[in-house]
Amino acid sequence: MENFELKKQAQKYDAIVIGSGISGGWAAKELCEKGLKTLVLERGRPIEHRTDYITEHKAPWEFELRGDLTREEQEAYSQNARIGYLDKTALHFFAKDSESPYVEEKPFVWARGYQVGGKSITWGRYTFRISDMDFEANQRDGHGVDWPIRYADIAPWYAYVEKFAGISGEHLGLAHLPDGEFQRPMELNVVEKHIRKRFREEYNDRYLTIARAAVLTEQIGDRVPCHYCGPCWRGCSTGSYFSSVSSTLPAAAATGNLTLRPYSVAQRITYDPHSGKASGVVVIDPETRETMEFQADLIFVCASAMASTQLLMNSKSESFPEGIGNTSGVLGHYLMDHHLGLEISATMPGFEDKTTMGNRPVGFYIPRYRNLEGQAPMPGFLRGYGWEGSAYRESWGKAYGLEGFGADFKKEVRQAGPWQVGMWGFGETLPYYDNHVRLHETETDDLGIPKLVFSAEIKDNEKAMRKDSLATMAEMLEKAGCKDIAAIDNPDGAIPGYGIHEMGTARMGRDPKTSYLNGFNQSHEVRNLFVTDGACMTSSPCQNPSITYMALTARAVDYAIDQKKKKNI
Amino acid sequence: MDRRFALKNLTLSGMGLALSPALLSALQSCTPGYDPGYALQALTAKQDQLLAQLVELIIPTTDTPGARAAGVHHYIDRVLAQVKAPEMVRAFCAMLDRLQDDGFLAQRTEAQVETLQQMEQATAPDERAFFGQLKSMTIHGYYTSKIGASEELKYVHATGFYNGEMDYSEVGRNFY
Repeated sequence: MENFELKKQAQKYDAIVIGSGISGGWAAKELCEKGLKTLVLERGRPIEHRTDYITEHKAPWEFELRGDLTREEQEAYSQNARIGYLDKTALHFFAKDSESPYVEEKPFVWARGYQVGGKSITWGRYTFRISDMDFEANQRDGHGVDWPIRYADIAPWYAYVEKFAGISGEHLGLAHLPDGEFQRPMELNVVEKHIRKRFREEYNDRYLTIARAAVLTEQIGDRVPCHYCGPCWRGCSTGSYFSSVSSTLPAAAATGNLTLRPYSVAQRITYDPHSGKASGVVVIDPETRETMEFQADLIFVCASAMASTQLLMNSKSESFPEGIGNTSGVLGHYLMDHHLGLEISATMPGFEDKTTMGNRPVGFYIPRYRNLEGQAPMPGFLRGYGWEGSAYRESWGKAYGLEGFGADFKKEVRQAGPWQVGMWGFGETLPYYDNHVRLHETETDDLGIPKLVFSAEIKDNEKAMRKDSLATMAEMLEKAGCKDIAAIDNPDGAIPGYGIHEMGTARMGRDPKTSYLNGFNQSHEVRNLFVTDGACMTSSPCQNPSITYMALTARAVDYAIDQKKKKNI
Repeated sequence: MDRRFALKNLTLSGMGLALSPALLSALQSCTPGYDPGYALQALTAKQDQLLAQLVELIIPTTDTPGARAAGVHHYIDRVLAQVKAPEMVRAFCAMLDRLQDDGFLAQRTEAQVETLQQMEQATAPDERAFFGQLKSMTIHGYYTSKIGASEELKYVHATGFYNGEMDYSEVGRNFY
């Protein structure tokens, strides 16, 4: 850092939040509402709710290349483009790999959103609670360390964040997928209802429900119910889905306690050995290259799982040569993601007098049905998986598979094809020590921050789970009456990062020797330092994780403020 | 059904019934192409003229306008200039030139259709590849165009509701 003149900022904040995505937005809201002067650091550009959703409600023909990426864009996003759905309609909400380099020792897709709101703008919006089956899993089968919390610890916080975020969904009464504070569910279509009915007739442990999602069916403040335009990830002027930009950051700003600072890359967290606390954050402005330090009593690291760990590792001092709070050396290890790439498509005969109208922004969900309480354990694998999907009339996409051309061809394409069912599975990945990230020894990005090296893969447990997952789902669809069932294990989808649910590497636990955080997302070693994004995860239950980060963040802020009052921080 | 939508369809199908596709196609070739002010990015004027006829053969004007009216040849021009790999673009343009040299545009429509059918079934990899690329770019360009998405198909935007068991007869065609 010799090249930079470090300016200490005169104003000291009560709290600094690093990152403005789902977790950072929640930290900001809770801290500000409890009266703390809070600085939120965001490395990317500012985003103005409504005005910066530049592609919202555009018709396909309004895109010069109909969404395709140019050769230059393909090159700039070469690592991220592998997720397969990166197109021009939302490209501006994804970070360029060429400007934000990382190293794949083993293949890894690191999707990042460098803007105010982070990935909360483009997220999938599915919100499922995790249960005691998940919190107890590590202890039960000996993989990873025990979670330091149980469902009862987080349940009231799930309820708290769900009421504010607005979750539409259906109550099922399942112990392993706990119900929550739900708005009216969105509607299943006629074929989805049929499959649901057939599952009920054939199984006593398998359900199909409309996905629980942070998309409104009832108004909350100035956020109005969904208007069914479809592509949420372009941004939503009516605030109908939850994002930091539509929801938490405005609430934080309304208190008058929020300072939001875009173009502020956190380079390292500073440590004061006399007080034993983190003293502040050194920030680089990526535009001007100016470096400055901000100070605060509380530091919340919410930079996204991998970036949070990168920052903690880069926060070296005499006291912590391997990164702040990392005497244990556990930081960076036990990286997890959900393994994807299990893809099923099938045809459902009949129902041809029916179609659907409106672009429903959520599909259906089939909760985990393996290795549940009271079931015989599966011989080949631990833990489990869930499935997502939807049923729809085959539309003009059938043209690609149709022979010929001309007037008859066109006539054929105009008419709806049969009902199809498209599905994809999400599997839990066990926490493995050797699945890790670390700082590159020599290579840095443009700002001099060491590149993150990714080294993670799925192993035998996940591979065995994938076989069972595909086979059982194909069988279930057959029993439901589907035909032409194509069940594919696409190995690319099992590459970590494809799920964009990367988590772990600064895990919670009871023992400071084997975990980075305690049961309140607080660093074991640095008591005013909290990490509340996906980095904190001790295991990776197969449910979509964001609602858990929201609940853990709100809970951690509550705890931090209580501890501050008691002078323990 | 949306009343305005019904009226629009009535007008178009009224026209379509009076004119055969071939006649319509012939008429179209005499009229200036879609978007006369369009500045070509990858193709020569001759290649563009040929491509306009090729896309129209793939998705012709019937009771709704076809690929040429939808500007699909210009969409392909942009894709060739900005998206596709240079080797593919060179090969694609070389095949356009070959068809040009073979006097494709001077042929009667039936003969043109036959040439394309032969390409679709061809064993020569360059012809098959060309036809596959032409067809898939035409499909994508047409059904994502305003004409393709909202006249040939039914385009709905923000309905404000989701109907999971709508009678298909109410719309009678694919939604975009």
